Amino acid sequence: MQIVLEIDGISKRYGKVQALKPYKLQIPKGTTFGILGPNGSGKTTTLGIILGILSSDSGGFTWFNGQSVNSAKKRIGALLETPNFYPYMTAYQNLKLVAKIKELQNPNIDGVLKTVNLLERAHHKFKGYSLGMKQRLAIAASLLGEPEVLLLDEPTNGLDPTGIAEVRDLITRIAATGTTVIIASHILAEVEKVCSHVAVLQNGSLLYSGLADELSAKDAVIAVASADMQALENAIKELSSLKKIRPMDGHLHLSFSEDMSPSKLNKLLAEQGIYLSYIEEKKASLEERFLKILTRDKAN
Amino acid sequence: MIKLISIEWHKLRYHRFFWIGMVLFVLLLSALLVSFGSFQIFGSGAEADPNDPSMLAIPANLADAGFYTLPFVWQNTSYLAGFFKFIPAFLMLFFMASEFEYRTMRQNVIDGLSVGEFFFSKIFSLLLFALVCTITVALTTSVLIYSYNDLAEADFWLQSSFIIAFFAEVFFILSLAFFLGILLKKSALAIIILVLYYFVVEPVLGFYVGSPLSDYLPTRPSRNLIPEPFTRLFKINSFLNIESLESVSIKNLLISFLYSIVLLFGSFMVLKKRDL
Repeated sequence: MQIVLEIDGISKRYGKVQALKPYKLQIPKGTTFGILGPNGSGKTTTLGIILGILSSDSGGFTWFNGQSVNSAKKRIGALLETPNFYPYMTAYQNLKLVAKIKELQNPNIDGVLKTVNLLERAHHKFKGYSLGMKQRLAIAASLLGEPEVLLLDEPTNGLDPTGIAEVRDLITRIAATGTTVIIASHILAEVEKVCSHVAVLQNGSLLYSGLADELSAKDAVIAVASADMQALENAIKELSSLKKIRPMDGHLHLSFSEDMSPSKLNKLLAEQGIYLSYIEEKKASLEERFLKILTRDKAN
Repeated sequence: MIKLISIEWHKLRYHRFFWIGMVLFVLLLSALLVSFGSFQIFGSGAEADPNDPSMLAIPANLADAGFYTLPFVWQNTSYLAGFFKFIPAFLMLFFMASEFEYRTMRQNVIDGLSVGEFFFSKIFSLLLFALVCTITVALTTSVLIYSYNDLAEADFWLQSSFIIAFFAEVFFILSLAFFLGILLKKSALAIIILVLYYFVVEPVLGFYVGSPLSDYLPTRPSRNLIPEPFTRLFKINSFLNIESLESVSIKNLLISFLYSIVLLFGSFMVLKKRDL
């Protein structure tokens, strides 16, 4: 597995506020990596540091196995916070400038403008753009030159529902081409829908990092029901791996300390002569897990 | 290098202020220099009194007074042009501060420009402004020399070193504008600070510290590069018995460039240290 970005103990302090505590993180090539966290959790600080616009108080980071930040950035398309462009230039002229900075030989400016539906407004000045158009132009700029890594900070900011759907669709399509996509967001749905890997940040600390599936599967709950609920409960209590049993809505919600699939459970119960009338595996949604991680951290 | 120039030129060429500022500078300055000679002199027409040596003949206008005459014409025009240096200085400051106001420098760095590359691309603007100003003065002066002088009698290049002094003066004020634009990040504020410092703070400070220390305050060497020519023009110097400067002071030239380099180096350090 190739590592695109390795973060090794970066941190940032603003006066008395420790905005980011040292942490380690690896982003594998070809993944869609979500950095989740509420506002002020250190997402943008992390991105600022790895893009070389903020200095880190400690540790370091490596792009593409040790390429210098400035040459690495030519292989990265990035959208950080608000879209920043020259207000007196048109969208086309602004993108041309980005292409010059990135040293692109044949930048497909019309192509990226078309992708974000701005082609008709290509020769209008940036200062006349609406917030949504500015955001779409920023996405277009990040796509210039087909970068190997796409780094998006709150990419659906300021977009209307259609725009949000379009951007999510676009991210999914780009990720499918093998581009590594890093998305920072406080909106879970945004990350849950498109990301294969997740890191959760809060108050500048890394709380979790790993596969998005694992994050949702870890606390899987199996709901069961049978004609004789008492016999069912007794039989289940005999299972050694049972962690928790809880009656809910006429079902029993079970969680296990080790791997337990619905089919395995069904088999075990059938062997004891108990036949289920209902069985469902309820994966905790990312949102529940996310809130759980955040509250757990608060409780500590 | 070519890449940095191309980036900076891309930023300048689409900006209306750049063209307005440059055209304004070139037109106003050359118009003033050309018409200055026909300005009437107060009390002109008086005849010299052979009995009273303090009564000198007063010429009808500045051209008659020798404003365009070699070799002094170089000093006369470049001194007058010095007043216009604030046009490119404000432009420089405005362009510099805009990069922070619109957070476009930050975007440039995100897109892959290093802080050092950004700095040197801006140095291109500074040199461009300084060269446009200097060439405008040099060309206008050359035209005036050809129209008012007999080149068979006078040396065209004598005292043309005032053009270099003019370049140094503009280069200094541009460096100061460059530094203030980076330091303050707000163009309106930076323009106010520049004007206040140049016309109020430093003169007052100079008055307090007194000579010769006042001659080494930051803007002073660049101001002293081209001495005002009017005392000599009206021959007041001969009457008051003061020697007027005939050439550029190398010391002032060097100190002026030194201050410029210090300001530019300071700008670079501020950029390097600052989080974007």
